[in-house]
Amino acid sequence: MMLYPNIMNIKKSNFAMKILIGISIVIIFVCVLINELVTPQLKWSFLVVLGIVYVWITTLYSIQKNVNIASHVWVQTIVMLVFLYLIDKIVGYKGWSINIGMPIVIGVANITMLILTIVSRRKYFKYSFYQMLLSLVSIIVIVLLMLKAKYRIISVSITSGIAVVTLMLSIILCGKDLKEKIYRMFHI
Amino acid sequence: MPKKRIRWRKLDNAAKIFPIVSNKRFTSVFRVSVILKGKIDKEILQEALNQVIEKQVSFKVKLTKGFFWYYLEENLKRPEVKEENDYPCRYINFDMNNGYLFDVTYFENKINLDVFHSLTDGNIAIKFLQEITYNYLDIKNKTEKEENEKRKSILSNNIEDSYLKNYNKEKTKREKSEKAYILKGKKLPLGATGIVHNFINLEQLKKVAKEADATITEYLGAVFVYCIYTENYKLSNSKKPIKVCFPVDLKKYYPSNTITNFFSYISVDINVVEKNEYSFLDILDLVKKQFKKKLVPNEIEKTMGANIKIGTNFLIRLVPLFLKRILVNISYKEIRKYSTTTISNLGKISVKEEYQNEIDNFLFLLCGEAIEKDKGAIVSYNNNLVFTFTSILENSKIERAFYEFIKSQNIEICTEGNGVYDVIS
Repeated sequence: MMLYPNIMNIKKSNFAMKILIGISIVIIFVCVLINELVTPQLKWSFLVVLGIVYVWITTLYSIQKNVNIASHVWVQTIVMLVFLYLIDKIVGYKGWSINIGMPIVIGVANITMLILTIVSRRKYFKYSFYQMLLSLVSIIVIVLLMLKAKYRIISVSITSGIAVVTLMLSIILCGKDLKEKIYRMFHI
Repeated sequence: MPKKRIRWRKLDNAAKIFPIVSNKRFTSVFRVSVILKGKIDKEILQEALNQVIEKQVSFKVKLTKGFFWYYLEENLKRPEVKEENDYPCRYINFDMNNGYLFDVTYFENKINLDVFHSLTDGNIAIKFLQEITYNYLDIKNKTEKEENEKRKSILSNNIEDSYLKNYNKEKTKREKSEKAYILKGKKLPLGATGIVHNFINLEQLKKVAKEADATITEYLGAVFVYCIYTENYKLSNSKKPIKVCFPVDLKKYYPSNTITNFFSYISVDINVVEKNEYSFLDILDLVKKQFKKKLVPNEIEKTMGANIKIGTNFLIRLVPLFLKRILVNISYKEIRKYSTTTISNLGKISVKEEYQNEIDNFLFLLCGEAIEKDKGAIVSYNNNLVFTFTSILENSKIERAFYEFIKSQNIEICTEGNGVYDVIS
């Protein structure tokens, strides 16, 4: 009687991963080279680099089976906030990232997260923790926006309103659970 | 619908270290398997597991990262049964395993339970496997039982940290020790593990061990050390001692019904530098002396106390987890160099009478890793003792020598492996 299956090739998956990493590096290298040789005044190749990094972050995070949808929203929001700012910088900083891009991302993310929390709260509060994290990050970003944005009044006011309301709702709906989660996370 | 509260628990004192130090090279995973007399049906096994996990809620957990420590939180997903298609005791990627700290797989007649050590120890894992197996056989044989006849679980849901309950704060002193001999040899590729099961006639082995005035663990431990000495140690110029770690089930020494880890260990240090040549009997004598000295309540209490002292130190508890990871990994790499190998004996497994006809054997495997490159695990059932080597060494000289030695003592032995090494017998 056989006790074990035939040994599979353990290097197969690593090999596929190495090929994909290799392709990414080659694309980046070629783009940076062309950029430097043809249009050195505009650093468009950095956009390619950002795009590839974004794809890798999203892919690596998405293939984890145990990751819930709220944490996807959370990770995507953080990555988009950073990348929007970097793209704006690369194409010659006009301020659209902090005046328009960031408020929209924060507003949409907060509303999405609130919907998730409301939908799931009867079962358990698994999304509300991410909701709270997102609200806190939103408030920090909004404060920074207030200090920097040129045409901030309307967009920032709407965004801050959404962030504060969703945070309040989240606390009202799942405050007790959040307290327990915080106790668990910070136990010594 | 009422709101469901999430159950959670702190990791027990021994479990705390595993998530911090584990990775693909040091998996902290062990395996227990049961070999049945019929082929495994995946759907029935999944059904059996689903039923068991709802009763044994202490296993229905996922590992979560806190700010200071990892902890276990109720897992709302279901564990999935898979067909075995990989090496045993591989690193469990919790994210790809519905968050579970164990993995149930099957192959032909065999059900495997791979367990991440933060969940529990070998003694409880084998009971959990038995529980799944009994349930599997009940479903397969369509054993309908009346409510009052229903089989009572062999496992409790007691999750107390028995270390904290039983340790003596006065006895926490660790004796000074020197680094151990580390096995030499070319390694298999990362992730690959060579498995050799030695199926040994238990009665014959008992008789031979008794003649040598040794227990089975002492005898087999001495054979393993002797094989390391002849096949690996003598080829090097090392003067370091061969040190073997023997886990000890603390439930034999303290009253405890916990399903969490409750084990300690003794380190048997064999110094083979005083003479030019050591015979098997010389080594057996040294092993027996060490057991006599160290396998006593007072020594076990001291080792346990020293380990608990670190885990409960207030300043250590206050260090954030990301910093703990860095500091513990640096020190643990050094600590591991104080052991050549580990031999763990689960003892004799008893099975309920109504299931005995359907169960052929049990297997127990430890994970091979970069420092302790070759390990031994023992489990007995009926008149069969299975000594299993898990090795990441490319050659199987130690395994071959072990087989030859046992055979030379007129003890019936046969071997079975996972195909990594050539068939020995």
